[in-house]
Amino acid sequence: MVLGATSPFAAAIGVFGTIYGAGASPVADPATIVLSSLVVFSGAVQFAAVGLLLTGAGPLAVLLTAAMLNSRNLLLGAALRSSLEEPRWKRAFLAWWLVDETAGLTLASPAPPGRTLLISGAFCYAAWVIGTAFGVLGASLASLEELVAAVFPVLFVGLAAQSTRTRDAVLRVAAAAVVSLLLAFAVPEIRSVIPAIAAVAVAMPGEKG
Amino acid sequence: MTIWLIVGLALLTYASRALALVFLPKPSPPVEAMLRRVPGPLFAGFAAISLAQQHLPQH
Repeated sequence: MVLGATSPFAAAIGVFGTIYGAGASPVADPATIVLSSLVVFSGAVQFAAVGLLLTGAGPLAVLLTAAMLNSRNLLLGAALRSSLEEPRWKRAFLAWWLVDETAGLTLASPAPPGRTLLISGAFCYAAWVIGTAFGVLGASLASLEELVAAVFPVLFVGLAAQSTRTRDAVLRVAAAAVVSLLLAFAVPEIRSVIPAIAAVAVAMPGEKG
Repeated sequence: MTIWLIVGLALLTYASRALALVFLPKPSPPVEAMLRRVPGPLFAGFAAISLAQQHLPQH
């Protein structure tokens, strides 16, 4: 069940991995590009790093940007924390698999959260690394970029719907979408952390009744 | 992209993942109630940003 739910995400992640592998070649040799996917496992951070390096930015700017992009992991981790009963060392292992997609699948799935995070994370990780290797080897899926980019909103709408059961929750989801859009057009530089800011803002007020 | 930059990115990324999952104590009931309300809006935000991505100003 977890594998089935993860498949569309993993397929899209694999395509983006290929695009990353091909696009990073001006700033690194093939082995370094694959190594980056093996040890970082974050599309947002890796694409941003390559983009910045291509414009001539230094390592400090890259690291500061990565720190900002990664701040949303704190929120995802906090949202998952209360459902994980595993001991600390196991949570340290599970933390490796925490990305937007696996957090969403874990929060929305009725299966045990630790298991869901591990299986979906391993699947997405394999897709990301294999996709990167294909990109490094010369595969070109740039023509699929628009198609795959269209898949993510559909998948995230599905996850939002799965975690929305009451009228109050529907209103919060709609409010978060509107707030995210408004903020994204107002301050596009921080678009990666906007969903987290909007989600916390609309989740703060307590439920009525 | 140097090996040291990759190591820095890897450490930063893993630390951000582990900080809440490993070191955060179980949240108090009010905070837990608030956190339970976060996922739906968070995914709605991700969906909205991915939909609008092509129309946003590039930086």
